[in-house]
Amino acid sequence: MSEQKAVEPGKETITGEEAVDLIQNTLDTFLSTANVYAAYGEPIEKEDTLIIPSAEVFSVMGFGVGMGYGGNEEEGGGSGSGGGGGGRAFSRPVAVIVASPEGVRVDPVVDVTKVALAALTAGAFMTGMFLRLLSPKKALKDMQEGKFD
Amino acid sequence: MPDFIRLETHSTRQIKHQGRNLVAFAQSFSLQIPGLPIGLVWNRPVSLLVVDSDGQEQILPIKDPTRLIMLGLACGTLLTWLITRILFVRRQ
Repeated sequence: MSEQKAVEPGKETITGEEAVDLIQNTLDTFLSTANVYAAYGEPIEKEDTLIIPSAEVFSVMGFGVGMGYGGNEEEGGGSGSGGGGGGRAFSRPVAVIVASPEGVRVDPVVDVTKVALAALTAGAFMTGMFLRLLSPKKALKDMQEGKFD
Repeated sequence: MPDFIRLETHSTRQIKHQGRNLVAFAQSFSLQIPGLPIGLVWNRPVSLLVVDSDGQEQILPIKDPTRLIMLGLACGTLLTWLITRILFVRRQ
């Protein structure tokens, strides 16, 4: 069974400087993920064939710390500090490397869902632009202004 | 290039398979603006070096068709917006 330590009320568990150091260390660890093994998976061997998956990985991370003081402690003032952070990682398969007795080839992977969504959005935007161009309201305004005379 | 931006190419260790040696390359882009606790890392596969048992080398590029299609769509949308904009201005 694990022992739990109670934190005394009003006692800071971490100082501002320690928090900044902690954030810097976390960021350094995060930036060290910029390596080749983030893009390539472990090779998988099956009979005579070797498969290496590859992916594009994009990750972002951010932190924030703040502290403040109010009045003096004799008059009931105090101080406080806080911090927070967050991050997100996106990964998308790009290709599969297949090494077999026949040779080595790179099979690209197409993300159909992403492409379909982007095509729908682009198509809707283009249609909207063309419809706006052919707008009857606009044509009526032009007629009233005598542009077709 | 400033210190806070890093663009590096990394390679995997040699992978031996059926007399062939494979080495994969990846490119990483990382950004950390000094004074700002924000970090960004982007890793992508680039190419594969294949060394045959007879010493013949071959480099296979790793193409990303999804990104190419997305870029094509973005360019098409931008071009459409530009054309319709020009036509609007001409009509007025």
